Amino acid sequence: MLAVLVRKDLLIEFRSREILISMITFGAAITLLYAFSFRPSPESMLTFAPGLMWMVFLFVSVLALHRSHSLEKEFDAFSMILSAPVERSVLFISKYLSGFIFLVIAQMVLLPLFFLFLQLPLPANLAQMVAVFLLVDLGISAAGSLLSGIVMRVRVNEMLLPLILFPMVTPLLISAVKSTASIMDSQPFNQWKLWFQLIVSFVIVFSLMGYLIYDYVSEE
Amino acid sequence: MESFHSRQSSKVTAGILAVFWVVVLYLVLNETRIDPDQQMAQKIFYYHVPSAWVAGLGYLVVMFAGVLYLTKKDEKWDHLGLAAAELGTLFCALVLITGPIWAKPIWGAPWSWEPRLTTVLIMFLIYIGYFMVRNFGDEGERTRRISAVLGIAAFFNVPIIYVSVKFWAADAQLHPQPAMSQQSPDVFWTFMLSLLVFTLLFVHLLCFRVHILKLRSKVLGMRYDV
Amino acid sequence: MLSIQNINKQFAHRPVLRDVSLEIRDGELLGLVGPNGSGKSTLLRIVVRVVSCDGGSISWNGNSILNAGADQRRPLLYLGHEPGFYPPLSAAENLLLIAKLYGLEPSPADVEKNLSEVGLDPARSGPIREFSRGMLQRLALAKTLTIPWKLLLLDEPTTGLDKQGKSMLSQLIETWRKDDRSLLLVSHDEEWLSSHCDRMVQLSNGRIQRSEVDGEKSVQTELMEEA
Repeated sequence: MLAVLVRKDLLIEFRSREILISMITFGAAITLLYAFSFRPSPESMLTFAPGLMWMVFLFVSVLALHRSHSLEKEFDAFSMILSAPVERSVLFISKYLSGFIFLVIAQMVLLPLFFLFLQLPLPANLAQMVAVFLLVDLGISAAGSLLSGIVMRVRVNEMLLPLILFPMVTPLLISAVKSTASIMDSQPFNQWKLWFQLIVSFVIVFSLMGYLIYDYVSEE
Repeated sequence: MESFHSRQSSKVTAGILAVFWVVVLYLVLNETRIDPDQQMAQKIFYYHVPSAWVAGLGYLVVMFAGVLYLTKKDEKWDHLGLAAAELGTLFCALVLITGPIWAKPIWGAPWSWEPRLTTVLIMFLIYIGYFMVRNFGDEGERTRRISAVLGIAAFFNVPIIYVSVKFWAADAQLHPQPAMSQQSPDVFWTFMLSLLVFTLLFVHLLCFRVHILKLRSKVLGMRYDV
Repeated sequence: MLSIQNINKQFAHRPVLRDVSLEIRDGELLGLVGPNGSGKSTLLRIVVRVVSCDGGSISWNGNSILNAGADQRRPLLYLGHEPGFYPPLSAAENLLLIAKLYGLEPSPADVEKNLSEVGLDPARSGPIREFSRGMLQRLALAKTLTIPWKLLLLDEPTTGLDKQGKSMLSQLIETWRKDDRSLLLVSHDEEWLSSHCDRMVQLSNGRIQRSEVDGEKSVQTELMEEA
């Protein structure tokens, strides 16, 4: 059932390409704005880059979440899914995984642009960077899927979602930025292990919460 | 439904609060020692810390009320959750006001990214979102349900927020860390009394607010009684 | 048998359903009528857990639907007011998806057959975003041929259907009657409903006002009139 739901989201996106195109173009636009707004030396750009990077990914995640739920509401497909014999926790996991996949794909395009436009050196330990990015993406997707499920039927939800999501993911954002900065600075894992642990904690807490309580937020 | 203020318990609580508020004020201004470094600025501690305590208590109540609402589906738990959220956020705001008032003469700047204050700020922002959801949602059961979920999610996020902010601004560990057990009796007992007064104030206001929300619910329901 | 007991629902303190109880026996076709805003659609959506209720119970053959896992909803199929499809997908893809959500794996030939039966062109592979309202309603009816339901909940099924479409729907209803399957039909078109249903129930102001079996009033209504 999970595979059916995730495949559905991927197929819809493959057909419409609405989510990925908006994520990538918006992300690229913000990256360009950064490049025009800040022109520090490459050394000091290294200080700001992790923070700027994760802000871009947070912003484009919000876009993806909105678009994903708009598609569910357009012909009321969401009611069809709710009325079908599909466990609500499985529905949450499918949204979680689909969101994660879209974010990863968008990052695969946006990261090279980011490094290129802001003239950043590639980190020595790419494997660590990939691991951190994948985990943080899971965290953003878990929190985003739960919170967008909460606000989807509330008025002005386009404004409400970032208002609620951004404070909630602050610890994830801080940990992501610190980890990324440490990796780009080639620091040994022991020195930034705490941030990694915080990311994992966040992923576990929000994944569990979403799995257990999505049922309560999905019904009208 | 009788008026909240005409109840015997309310009158007694209000009376106790009024008296002890004045007692605490007197003790703070006259009986507690003056810190040699911080002088009078230090005395905000008797209001700042209890405010933070009450804010945390409020959010704890929101979490429990949320769990109880989701499991029992009784509107009274939603009333409790909303009232506690309002009071928690109010006292959060007091922390965010009293903190900078103290910080300006002591640190030279009203704000620094000190972990505890930053955690309070993030919680404050989360609850602004909570109130916006309540405001833009309809008055119905779904809004109560999603508010309960938000309250639970916010609470379980607090330890992660605190740890992350603590190590994020490791250089901003400027917040005083007084060990209460090592304080002189005048400071200790005045602080404990202030804590008690603030807690009692929270409970009193909570009961009052729940009473109003119950009345409001009753009135709204009456519109549709046939 | 579907048993609905004492369902209450409020939206923003406005009671939409008040102590609504009714039963649908196996093989029965029940029509639910009432003015706009009487709670008919809400009741259907509560049965399939799209909308939560404030109190009451709903069970299918003695097993609770509201407090149970999703599997309890397997015998039920809900066709709501809105089409309930994904616009970027084709008709066949939407049907296949719904079948899979019910744990089925129909062959492409079966899907094409179901689409043809409701008067849709199975060769059409474009997104259903391009469909008219009537075509979407036909596609919704194709769901009923794809899923092996026992109880069908239909909300305003004639919306957007032309004369041919309504005739097709009538034929489908007769087929289901012969198959001994149950239906709960909601419509404000009392005349159309009464020509297809075994029993009619009127919902007004959130309450059951009238229950008729083939034109004869039920005991409940007689008691209400005496009072």
